[in-house]
Amino acid sequence: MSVLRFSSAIFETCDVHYVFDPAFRRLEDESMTQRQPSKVSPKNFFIYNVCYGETEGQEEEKILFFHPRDTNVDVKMREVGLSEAIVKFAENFDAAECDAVHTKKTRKLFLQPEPNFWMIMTIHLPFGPRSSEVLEGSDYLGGDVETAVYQAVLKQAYSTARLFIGPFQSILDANNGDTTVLKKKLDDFFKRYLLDLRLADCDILNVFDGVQFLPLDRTTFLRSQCFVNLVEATFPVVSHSLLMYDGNLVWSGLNPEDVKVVYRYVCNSLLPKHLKANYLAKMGSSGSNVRLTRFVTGPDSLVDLVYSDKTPKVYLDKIQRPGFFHLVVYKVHDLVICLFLPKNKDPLRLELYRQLDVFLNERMSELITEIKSYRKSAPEQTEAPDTRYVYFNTMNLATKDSLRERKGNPSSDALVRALVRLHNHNVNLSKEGCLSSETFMRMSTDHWVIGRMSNFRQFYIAVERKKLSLQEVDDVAKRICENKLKGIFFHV
Amino acid sequence: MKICGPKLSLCGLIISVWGIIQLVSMGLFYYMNSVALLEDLPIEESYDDAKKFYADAENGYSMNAYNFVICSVWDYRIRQLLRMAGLTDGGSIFTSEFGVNSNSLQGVEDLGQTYDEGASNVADESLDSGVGESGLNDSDIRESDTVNVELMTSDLPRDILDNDLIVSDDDNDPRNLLMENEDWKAKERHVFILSSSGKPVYSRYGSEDKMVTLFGVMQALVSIIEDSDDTMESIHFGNNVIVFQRRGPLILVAVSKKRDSVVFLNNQLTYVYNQIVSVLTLMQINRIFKARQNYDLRRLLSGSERLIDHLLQFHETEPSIFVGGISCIPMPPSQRESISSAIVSTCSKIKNLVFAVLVANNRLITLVRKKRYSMSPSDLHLILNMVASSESLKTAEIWTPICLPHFNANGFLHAHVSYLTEDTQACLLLLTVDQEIFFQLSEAKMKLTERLKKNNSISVIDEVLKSPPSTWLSLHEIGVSKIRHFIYKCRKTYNVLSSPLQPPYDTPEDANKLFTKYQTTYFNMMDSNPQSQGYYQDSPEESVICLITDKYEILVAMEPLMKKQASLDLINRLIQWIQKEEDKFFLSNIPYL
Repeated sequence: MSVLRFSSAIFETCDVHYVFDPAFRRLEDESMTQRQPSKVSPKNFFIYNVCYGETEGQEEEKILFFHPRDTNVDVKMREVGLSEAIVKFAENFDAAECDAVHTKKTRKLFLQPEPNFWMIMTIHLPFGPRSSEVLEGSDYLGGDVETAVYQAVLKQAYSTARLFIGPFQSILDANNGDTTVLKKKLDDFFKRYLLDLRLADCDILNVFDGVQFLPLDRTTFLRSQCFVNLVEATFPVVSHSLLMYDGNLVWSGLNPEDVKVVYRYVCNSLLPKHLKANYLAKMGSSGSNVRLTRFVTGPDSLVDLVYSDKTPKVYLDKIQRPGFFHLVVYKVHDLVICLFLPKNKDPLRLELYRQLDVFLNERMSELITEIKSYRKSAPEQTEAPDTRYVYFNTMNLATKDSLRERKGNPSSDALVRALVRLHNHNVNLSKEGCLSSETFMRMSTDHWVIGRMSNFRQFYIAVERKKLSLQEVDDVAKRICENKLKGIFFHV
Repeated sequence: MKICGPKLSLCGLIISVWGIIQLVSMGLFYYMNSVALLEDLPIEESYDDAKKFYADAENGYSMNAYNFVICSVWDYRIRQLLRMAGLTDGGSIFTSEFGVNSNSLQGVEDLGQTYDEGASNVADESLDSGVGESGLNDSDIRESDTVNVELMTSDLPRDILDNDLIVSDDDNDPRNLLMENEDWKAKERHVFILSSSGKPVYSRYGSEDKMVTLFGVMQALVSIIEDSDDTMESIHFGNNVIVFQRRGPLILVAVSKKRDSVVFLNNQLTYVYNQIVSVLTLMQINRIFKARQNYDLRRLLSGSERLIDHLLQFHETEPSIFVGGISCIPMPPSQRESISSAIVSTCSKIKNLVFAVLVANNRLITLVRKKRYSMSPSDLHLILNMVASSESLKTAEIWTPICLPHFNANGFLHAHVSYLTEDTQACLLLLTVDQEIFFQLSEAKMKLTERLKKNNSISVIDEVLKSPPSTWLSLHEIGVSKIRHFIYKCRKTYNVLSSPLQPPYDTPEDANKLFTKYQTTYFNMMDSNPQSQGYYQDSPEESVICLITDKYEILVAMEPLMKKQASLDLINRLIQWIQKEEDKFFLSNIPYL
C-alpha cells in the first residue's frame, strides 16, 4: 500500500494541480495563519544524461526532462550544473553515488538509475512553528523530513517509468542515440505521474515499497495456484500471471522486483480508477441498465463492433526474455487476475477477450467463495487503537501494517517518522554485519517506538500510550508480534 | 545571428589562446620572482622586519607562480560544470584570486596595468623596508636591488627560509599527503577550512596548496546555494557525509566516511571554529576580511594547525567532549579544597586575574574564578587542548594571549601557563586581562608551587595520576559488573564521569567503535523531533542504553541479552552510587578569587 497514488482519491474532484504550482504554494504559506507548518512540496524534478551536451554552449542537450516545464533555460542549466558539480565533488572522497543534499530550505534527492542517467528531485521543506507550544517565529523544519522516504519516492518514480517506457538507455539505443523519442516518452509519462504525486503523504511504507500478501491456509492457496496454472495452460498466449484478492497478493509468477512495481500500479492506480469510472457510469445512467465489463484493462464492451486495443503495455525486466507485455486485468468482485501477454505486432483480438471472459468468470466466482469462507474461519485480531505496527521482510518484500488507521494527527505522524529513523539505524547496523537487534526509544511526549530486526525481517511498532515502563512496552511489543506474525520467530 | 559567425569565434579563440600564453608567462615571471609583480603578492602592507618581508615575498612568489600554472592547465571539465552551474562570470571564482581572468580581455588589460604601476610601487616599498632596518646583510641588499632573482633561494640564509610560513618538510607530516594518494582518500574524517573567497585556510590531511581546486569547488558550491538565498548544510552519499558550516567570512567543511551524524560533525566544526577564534578573536577575523576579502588567513594561523589537529583528535576520542562536559581528576574533596584554597590565598591579591585553572592529563583538578565570571565547558576544552598540544610547555613557562569564545569572543585574555614542577603532570594556567603582569604571575606561581609542595598536594596529584583508574572506580565493586562502560554527565554542573575502558573495549579500534555507537545514539536522540529521552538497543555485541533526564545524562554499554528490568535496575544502582560519591569525582564548588 503505497501513498504514491495515481489519483487514488477516488471520489474527490481532481484539484491536485496546485501541488506543483509555486503560486499556489505561496498562497498556502500565507493563509496558514502562522500556526500550521506548510507541507512538504516538490520544487523541481529533472532527468539528465551526462553523456550529452559535453561541448560548451550545448549543455542543454543533457536535459531529458525538467519539471516545472516553464522553467527558464538558465535556471534549468544551473540546476543541472549544480547537481553535476555536487556529484563530481563527492567523487573526490568516495566512489559511492550521491544520495541527497540538505540545505536549509530544501532537500535534493539524487538517483542514478542507469549508468549516466541522473534523476534529481528537489523538495521544499515544511515551514512553520517548531512545535505547537512555540507561539512565535517560524522555521524550516528539516527535522520533520526523513530523507529516506523521498529517496524511496524517487526510486519508485523510476521503476514506474521503466514499467511503461522501458529502460532509458534501450530507447536511446533504438534511436541511434537520438534523444527526441526518449524526451517525448518521459514527458508524456512524468507529466501525469507528478501531478498525482503527494509527497506529504509519503511515509515508511514508501521506504519498504513492499507487497501485502493474503494469508491463506494450504488448501485454499493450492486451489488458487491450480486455478492460475489452469489459465496459463488453457491460454498458452498468457506467459505470466498474478492473482490478487482485495489488495493482497495471492499468487504471482513474476520476480519480486517486477511484482512490486506491477502491484503498486494495479493497486494504487488501475483499480481505483476503474472503481471510480464504474461509479460515475452508474450515477450517470441512473436506471438504464449499463452492463459493466469485468475487464479493468481491455475493451470497454465485448460486443463492441468498433474495437480498439487499449491494454497498457508494460516492460518486465527480471524474466528470461525482458520485453514489453500486454497487461490484461480482469476483475470479479474482489478477486483480480493480471495476465501478461507478449507484445508483438498484432493487437489482441476481441475473440480472445470473449474466451477469457467465459473461462474466467465462473471459475473466479467459485474461488472467491472459498477464499471468503477461509477468511471467515480465521478472522484477523484487531489491536489496541493506540498501537500501530509495520512488518517488512526484505527477502520476499512482504509487508503488513496498521499505519493508515490514524493518519493526520501530528503527534502520530512524528512517531511514524521516528520509525523511519529506527529503520535507518537498523539498515546501518546490518551494513556493519549486525543482523539482529531490538531497539526501544522513549520520546519526550512519553510515547514509545520499538524496532526489531532479525535476519531479513523487520518489525516496527509505535505505542501512543503514556506512563509505560520499559518492561510493559516490551510486553506490548511481544503480544503484537505473536498476534500478527504467527509462526515468525523473532530473536535478537 | 550574423554577428556570431566564424569570425567572432576565431576572434574568441585568439583571445583565449592569448589568455593561456599570458597565464603561463605570468607564472614564469612569478617563478623568477619578478619584482614588477611584487604588488600582486599576498603580503602585508608594511613591514618593520626586512627578513620577514623577504620570506613573505619569496613565499608569495612561489605560490602565485604555482597558481598561475594551475590556472592555465585548469581542469576543463570543472570549469564547464561551474559555468553551467550559473557562474556566468566564468572561472572568476578561481581566477579572481589569481588576479587574471583568462577568458576576458578585461583581465589582460588589468595585467598590463599592474605591470606598469607595479615597478614604481615596488621600488618605494623595498626602500621603505630597507630604511627601517639598519642591520642588513649582503644577501638582503642584493635581493632588494636586483630584478633577476634566480639565485635568491640558494643565497638566502636558512633561518629566513625556515620562517613559519614554510611548511615543515617532515615526512610524517599529515599535510604532505597528496589528494590523489590512496592514503588521503582512505582517511576516515577530513576537515577543511576556507575563506569565503575560496582561499584555503586549513586542511586536516594533505597540503592546502595542492588542493586549490578542491577548495575552489567547495567555495563555489556554498556560494551557488547562497545565491538562491539558501544555506548549504550537508551532502550524503553511501556511508559518507559532508557537512558545511558558514561562519562569517569562513567556511568550514567536515567529511566523514563512517556514517557520523550531522549533529556530531557540526559540533566538531564548531569546536574548530572556536579554536580559530581563540587564536585570533572574532573581531580580528572580521576586520581582516572586511579589509581584504581574499586575505590568506594561514599567515596569521601559522603554528595553529597543530592546535586544530590535536583538537580534532581530542574531540573524537574524549567522551566528555561530545556530551559537552568536563571530567575531573578524582580525589578526596578535602584535598581538592585545600588545593583550591592555596590558589585563592596566593592569587587573591593579583588584580585583573580572572581564572586560575589547574589541569592534568586532559582533566581538571580545580578551577578558581573571579566573581560573576564563569567558564563554559567548551572554553575549558580549548584550554586543555592548548596544554596538551604544546610541547614547549614541558620545559618553560609561557605567556600567551588566548581568546575564550564563550567568555569574550572579541578580546584576548593573557595566559600564564606552566607545569607546577618539572616532573609533574599538573599544569597551572593563570588567565588575566592585564598584559603587563607576567612577572607578578610568574612569582605567584612559584609561591603556589612552594605551598602545594609543603602541604603535599603535588605528590597527592601525582599519586592519583599514577594509580590505575580502577582504584577509584571499579564497576565490579559497585556491584554492576554487567555494565561494561558508562559515561555520566551531571546536567547542572557539566561534570562528566566515565569508567575506564576495559575489555572488550581496551583496544583503540574497539573503543572507537563503542564511541561511534554512543555518538550516533546520543546525537540521534538530541536531533529527533520530538526529542527522545530514553534509548535502549540490544544487539548481539552489547546493549547500548542512553537516558536523558533533567538532572543527568547517562550512556551505558552493557552485556547483551539481559532482561530489560534487570538492566534498568543495574543502571539505577550505578546512578545512586555516583550521586553518593560525586564529591570525589566532580568539581561542584568553584571558589571565588
